[in-house]
Amino acid sequence: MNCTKCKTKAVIDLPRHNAAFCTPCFTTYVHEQVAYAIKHQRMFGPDDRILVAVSGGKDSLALWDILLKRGYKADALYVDLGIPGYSAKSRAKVERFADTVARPYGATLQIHTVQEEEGAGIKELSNLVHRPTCATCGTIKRYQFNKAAVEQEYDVMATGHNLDDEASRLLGNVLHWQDEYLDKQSPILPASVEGFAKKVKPLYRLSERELAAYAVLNKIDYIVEECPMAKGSKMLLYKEVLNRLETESPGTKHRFYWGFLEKQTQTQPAATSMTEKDRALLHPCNTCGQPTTGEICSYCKMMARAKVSK
Amino acid sequence: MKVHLSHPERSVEIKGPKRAKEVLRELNLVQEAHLVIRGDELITEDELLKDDDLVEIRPVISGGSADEGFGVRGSGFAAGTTHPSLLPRTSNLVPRTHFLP
Repeated sequence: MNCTKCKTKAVIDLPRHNAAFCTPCFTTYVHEQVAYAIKHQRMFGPDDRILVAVSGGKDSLALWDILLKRGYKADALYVDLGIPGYSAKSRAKVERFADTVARPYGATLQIHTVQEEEGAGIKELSNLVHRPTCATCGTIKRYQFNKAAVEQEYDVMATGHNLDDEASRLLGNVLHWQDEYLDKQSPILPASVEGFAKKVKPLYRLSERELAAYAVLNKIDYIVEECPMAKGSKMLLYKEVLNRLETESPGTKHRFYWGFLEKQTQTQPAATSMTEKDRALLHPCNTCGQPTTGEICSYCKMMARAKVSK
Repeated sequence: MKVHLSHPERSVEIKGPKRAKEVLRELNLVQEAHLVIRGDELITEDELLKDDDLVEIRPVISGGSADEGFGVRGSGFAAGTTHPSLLPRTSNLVPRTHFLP
């Protein structure tokens, strides 16, 4: 199979685009998809400071790599969850990438260690508050990433969510008719109120397979091992189902999610009304001061419960 | 050929020559969820694999956390509490079982 663009030997075929690429042409394709996403969704400009949420996986490291190579000012934050046999490995991958790739661009890596800051590892915390590990992880990560972005005055926070993440989440919401989420599944979320950083997903146009291929071809050393806490999750099941559909009918995932985004832009209220709605709902948390709809935010509630249970 | 697989990590022996897509099919794996790597080179699905090739079939799927989870407040965006635009009309954090019939 030859490269669709330059006719040399291809290294990856992309049935959804009816194309195949050699390494340089594939790298160009990936960068162009990210550039299009940033421009089309007005994610950020060339002078904005970006905080990338990194995990040691292919997506977040590929995102950091792409942003740096495209000349953006992108630092990163890693949250060490203290998962036995997993966190140490993923942290080592992130630190190695930061030393070898990011530092020459002048970018920095920050590390938040849950064991040190929250006083216990993720497994112990989730047991203390009687919540699923993935939910506890999500609460801590969202809180710490936003806190870092706001306190250090980053213009935007970027996550490595890809097409498969978004399409499977959309499928989950549709299957369960979680319609209150349907009109919120956008690749950008504005900094609608003080205390909330703007959040963007520049990889929403690229599939997991494409991002894994980008990492392999660009010698990005990422953690291949799956997080042991994610085993048996519904998200993985939805991804599997979508990939079966994609194999039989290439393009299913992007038609599903991009089609949804297109319809969303036709019906969604203007960003200003969304901001007004947010302002009406939010006020500072009594404990930490971050915006919340209740008196105390979910992170502080969780930490208070953990302290009582100890 | 020796084929290295992950999740769980193991090696299997497959008789060659075979195209990469035939090896995937024989192992009941879908192309969209895997990369085929010969030695340290990524290859396309029409590539012919021989008996003396060392092949890795690498899964590409990750995730499952509340960071991205449908129906889990926040969806990777909120902090401290749920981003208001992601709030459902009903109240507080609901375990995953809530979505079961």
